[in-house]
Amino acid sequence: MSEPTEANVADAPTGATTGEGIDTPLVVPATGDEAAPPPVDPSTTAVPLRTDALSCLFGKRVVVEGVSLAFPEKTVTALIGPSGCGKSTFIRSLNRMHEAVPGASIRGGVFLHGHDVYSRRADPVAIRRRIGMVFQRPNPFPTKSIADNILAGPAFTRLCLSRGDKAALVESTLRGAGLWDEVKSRLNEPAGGLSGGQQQRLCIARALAVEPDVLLMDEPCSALDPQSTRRIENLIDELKERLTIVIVTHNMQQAARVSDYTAFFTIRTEGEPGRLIETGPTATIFGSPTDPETEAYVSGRFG
Amino acid sequence: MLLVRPGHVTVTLTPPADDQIPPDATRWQMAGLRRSALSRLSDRLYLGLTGGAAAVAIAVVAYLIWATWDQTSAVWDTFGVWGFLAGREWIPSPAEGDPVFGALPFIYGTLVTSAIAMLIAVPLAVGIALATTVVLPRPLRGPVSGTINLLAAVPSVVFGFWGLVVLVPAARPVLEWVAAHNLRTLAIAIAVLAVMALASSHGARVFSLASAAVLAAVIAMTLWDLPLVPHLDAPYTLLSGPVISGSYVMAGLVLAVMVLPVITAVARGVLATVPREQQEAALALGATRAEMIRHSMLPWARSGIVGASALGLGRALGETIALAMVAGNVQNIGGSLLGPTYSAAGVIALQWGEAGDLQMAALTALGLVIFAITLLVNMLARMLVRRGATGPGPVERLRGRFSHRADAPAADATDVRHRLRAGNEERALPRVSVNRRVRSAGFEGAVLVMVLMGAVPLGLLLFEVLREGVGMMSTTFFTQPQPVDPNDVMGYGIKDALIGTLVLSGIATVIAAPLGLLTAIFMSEGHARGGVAGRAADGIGVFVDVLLGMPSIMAGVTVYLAIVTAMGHFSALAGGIALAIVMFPIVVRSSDEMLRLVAGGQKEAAQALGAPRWRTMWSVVLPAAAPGILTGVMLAIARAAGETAPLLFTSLGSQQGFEGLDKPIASLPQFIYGFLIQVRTDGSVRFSWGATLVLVGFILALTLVARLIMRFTSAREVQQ
Repeated sequence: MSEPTEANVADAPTGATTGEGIDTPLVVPATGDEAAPPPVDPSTTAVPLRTDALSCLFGKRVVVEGVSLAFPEKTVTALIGPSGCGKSTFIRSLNRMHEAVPGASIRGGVFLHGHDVYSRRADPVAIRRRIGMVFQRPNPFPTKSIADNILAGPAFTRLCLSRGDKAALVESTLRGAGLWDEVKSRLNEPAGGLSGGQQQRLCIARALAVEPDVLLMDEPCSALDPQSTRRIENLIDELKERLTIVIVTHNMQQAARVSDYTAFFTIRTEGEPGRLIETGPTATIFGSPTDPETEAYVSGRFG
Repeated sequence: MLLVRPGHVTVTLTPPADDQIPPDATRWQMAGLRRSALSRLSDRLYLGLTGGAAAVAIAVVAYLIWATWDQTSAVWDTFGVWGFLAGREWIPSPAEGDPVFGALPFIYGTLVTSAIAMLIAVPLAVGIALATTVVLPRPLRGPVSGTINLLAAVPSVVFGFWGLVVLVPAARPVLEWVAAHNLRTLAIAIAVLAVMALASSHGARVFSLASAAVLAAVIAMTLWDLPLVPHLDAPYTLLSGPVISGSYVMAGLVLAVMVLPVITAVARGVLATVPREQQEAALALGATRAEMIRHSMLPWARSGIVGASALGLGRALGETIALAMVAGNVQNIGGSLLGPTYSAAGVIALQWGEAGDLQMAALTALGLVIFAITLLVNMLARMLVRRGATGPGPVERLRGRFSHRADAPAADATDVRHRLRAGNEERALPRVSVNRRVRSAGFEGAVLVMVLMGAVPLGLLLFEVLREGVGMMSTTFFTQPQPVDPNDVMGYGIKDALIGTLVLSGIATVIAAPLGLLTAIFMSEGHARGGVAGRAADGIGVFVDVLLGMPSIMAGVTVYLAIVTAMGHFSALAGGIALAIVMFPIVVRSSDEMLRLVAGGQKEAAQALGAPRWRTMWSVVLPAAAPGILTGVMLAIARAAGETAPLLFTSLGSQQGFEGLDKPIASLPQFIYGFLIQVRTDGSVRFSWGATLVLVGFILALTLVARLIMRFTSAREVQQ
């Protein structure tokens, strides 16, 4: 295990201690890594979602401190790090699910297309429609049918959908999630009857049905078997064509397989907040990380 | 140490002949495989003892109910089943001719008052439960739900007393205004009913719709004077005529206030079990809090809310004392809802004392009819709950299913997707539409109004009891015998009634707690063993559930018929037994649940160490479950101590102090009831407030201690 040094702290993204200022330079993934070039050049693509010196708190306890990260459009960013480093809290604060926990608050900012998600004029309800989320444990509505699970999100919008519209939306969404062929004959049956892997793909489909720009996935495969995991990873690859994905994972092979960029979080000692240590194209993080801690973690020597 | 070289080991599978084993070895080997005779005997004794206790308890209660049924044969012989049930006349002592007994006026009164109560209480209860789980600001949730929980333990005689002294005078001007503006009120009433039935969702909707249907029938008959029920005592007029103190509406209101805490407490417990993930699933899709409640919390809690409502309805149907105090007690079918009514349990309480043989049989039969109705309600609720456990509920199913032809050509959703994205491009941070915001705010506003409508009267009740009762507190009040003349209460106290309540609850606890616990232990062992014991345990479970739904006045009726008549006089013992019948199923159910909660792993660990069943139960399961069992017993005592109905014709009440177990004895609830239906003077009302405060204080103390035990130990368990 490598001991944290002053140098490591200095390597942490800027804004980690200031916690303020929108104009702080962002740590965007470095380009030009010849060994494994990232599929997207961030200097030319849009960045729909970025955080600026984001700190997440429960009461007075700071759980994540000063994270500035950008998520380039139509890419997959993996958040990795040891348990308790605040990855889940961080990802939940991106679509304001963090504040669903009593006593939770943030400092710093999250920006969707340059607009402050946490500004007083922003409504978390509307934000969550633009930034969808898939949770660790599959959580379909057990009393709703498969079709009604898909239609749950659009139903909130009070958009008047004809029967035909609904059918089209259900079918295309389920096709998009690779679930259509498995469930097309039992759309009216309760979602609770599906297998765990199918339930999770249904949850992804349900999140997609409201047409979000960004999809957050909090360890979406940790409760699934390898076969279902594989299918969801393939699905992520397909979804990348359409949306920006942020995924928290404990499985480093998974991070290496599905993501374009990787951000490594860690917590130095018990009780200290989690911090972003290093970020960059996935191949760089796994191949030649600059930070010794990252190197120790991805090579399995720590965490 | 034995060194084994591969390839050089031979294993002999044939056992040595018997005579080759030395006697010692046999004993040693057998001891390893079989338990000692003593150990087996102890387990048999253990099962025999618990099974025996369960059998005795169940047999006695079953015999009592059978004996009660047996007493009613004269009614069926004289009037016939239908003749009795549909009979509209109840004339115990006519001027000429034979007495006539028809149950319809009482069944009608019971059903209509319960329907009014449910229509008011169920939506309010769900609203308060929602408010105290998600809607109210966090610091307010605890106090509000705590108050409501405490009120679930307040005895019905207190609700009756409060209704008579506080609610009736307060509601009178409102009802008078209503009576004077009958037609306009009708429109308002219909609107309110419709809104309430629609606003309540899922599980609650079933009950609200059923109650609304009953009342809608009444309204329809009012509007068009439909001759659906011929020969009405009075034409149906929904809300008109003189306002009197005892009426359908008053009785329904008091019942509603009474069952509200019961339904709220259960519904809140169910809503609290909705997993975080379910709530977050809706929020992450962009649901407002109101939409989250509607789409993820209420469907999840649906079956539990149905169960809670059934529990409340059972209470309302079987309620005796509160109704006897505020129903008006005049046989009456139809007529204005402001007119008087008479409930089935109420007529038993009021007429039993002077009843002749046939009348007593008719009253008993009436009690059994109410018992049967509560059983029916519970069975229906159970069916609804079982059907609705997973998948879309009955309402969603009725509302039309999603239809899609799987063989249809792949649908094109571009248009829908475009519409769903509408606004995303124009503004980076879209607003929630005004329509949705208004609806959600309206929903939350409605929930808050419900809290006010429900919690405020309940809070006022506690406040009133405290304010009026404190003035009476003095040494005299606790040490002096009770007054004989309601006009002269100075210098008297409630010593005898207080002692009586302690004695009666003591007898009931001594009988019901051990029997209940042993029965619960047998059920737990029976379920673990399966086979005959398992089926017996299942049977006992069903029987206990039946007993739980029994109107408490029936406990008094059965004990009167079997024990008081056999002994030839009223006695404290008979009263204690009647209360024990009320307590027994509560103790069994709560102990059974606590025994189940003990982790299966702990039991298996003990058994894997070779502990016999009784040892596992005694040293592993019981210690872990003890706090919960104790809590259950204390709540059962609190319930029994507040009961009035079972005591009316068992312990009777007494002007003397405690004279022995075989003599009649006074008790607090019965004293409050009896004292108030006599002359009502300022003095007697104040005296009753004092007695009420003592009774409520006693019961709340029991409840509080029980809850503290539970909180203390559950905190410990969480840490484990």
